[in-house]
Amino acid sequence: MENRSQPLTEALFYILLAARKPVHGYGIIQEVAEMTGGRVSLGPGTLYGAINTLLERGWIVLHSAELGSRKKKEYLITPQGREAFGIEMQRLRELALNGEKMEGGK
Amino acid sequence: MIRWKFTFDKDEEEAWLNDWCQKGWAMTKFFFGAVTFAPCQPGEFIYQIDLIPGRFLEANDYEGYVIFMDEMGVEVLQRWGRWVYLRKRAADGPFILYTDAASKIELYRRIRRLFLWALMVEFFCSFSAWSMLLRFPEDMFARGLVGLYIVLIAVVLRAVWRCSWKIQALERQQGQ
Repeated sequence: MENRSQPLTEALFYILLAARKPVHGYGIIQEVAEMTGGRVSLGPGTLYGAINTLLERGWIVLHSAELGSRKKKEYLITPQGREAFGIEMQRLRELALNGEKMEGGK
Repeated sequence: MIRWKFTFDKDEEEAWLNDWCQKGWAMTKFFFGAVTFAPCQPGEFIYQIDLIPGRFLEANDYEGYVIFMDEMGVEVLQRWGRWVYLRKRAADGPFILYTDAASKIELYRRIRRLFLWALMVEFFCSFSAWSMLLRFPEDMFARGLVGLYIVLIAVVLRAVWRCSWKIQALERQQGQ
């Protein structure tokens, strides 16, 4: 299990993003493929492990648990999940900003 | 049709199943190394093998896993302890279970833990055979039993080593 302060993997990053509104497993795969133009395709095993990791950390929760219904399980981001996502965004912004120096040649 | 397959390498077994499917034979059952095949369209299915997270022989939330895979259009064909044989219709698109280095590393660590545990069990079970051999060095049964344990331990040790080798290669790829 990776440390919380470590950068998120692309899989975790995009699953958190997709879960900003209630989404089911297959919906995550479709949305992530769409957002990245097909570059990031999540395999079912990778997605299953990542969802369980996020549930254990309390970064996403099960949504719409209509008991007994055949409705697919949906996931939704939690405030802790949003916080972790925010920290990662800060890191990525810093990365992109520092990366600009390459163009400026300084 | 039934074919025998004894391997401790799930990647090798996956490739073997997919080869048979290309030849028009789809795996339907697995029991102690006996693999049952039924005729299919060549390349009709894509097979993958997974080790469900859990402890020892007990899988965590097997029902949840099956439902999850079903939603992905993946059929859980056969369960063998924590091992599962999965397949998806090739017409429904590509089927690769693990698509990034982090989750592949996690998978091979899971497999390695299971093999290490099996190794420990084999090791302790072999004690009685060793002590029998020490007391009756000429006894053919004791010799045979010790020989069998040595082979079993060597096979599982090799499986552990192969997992470590795959993990190392993935970590290098990941730049860790």
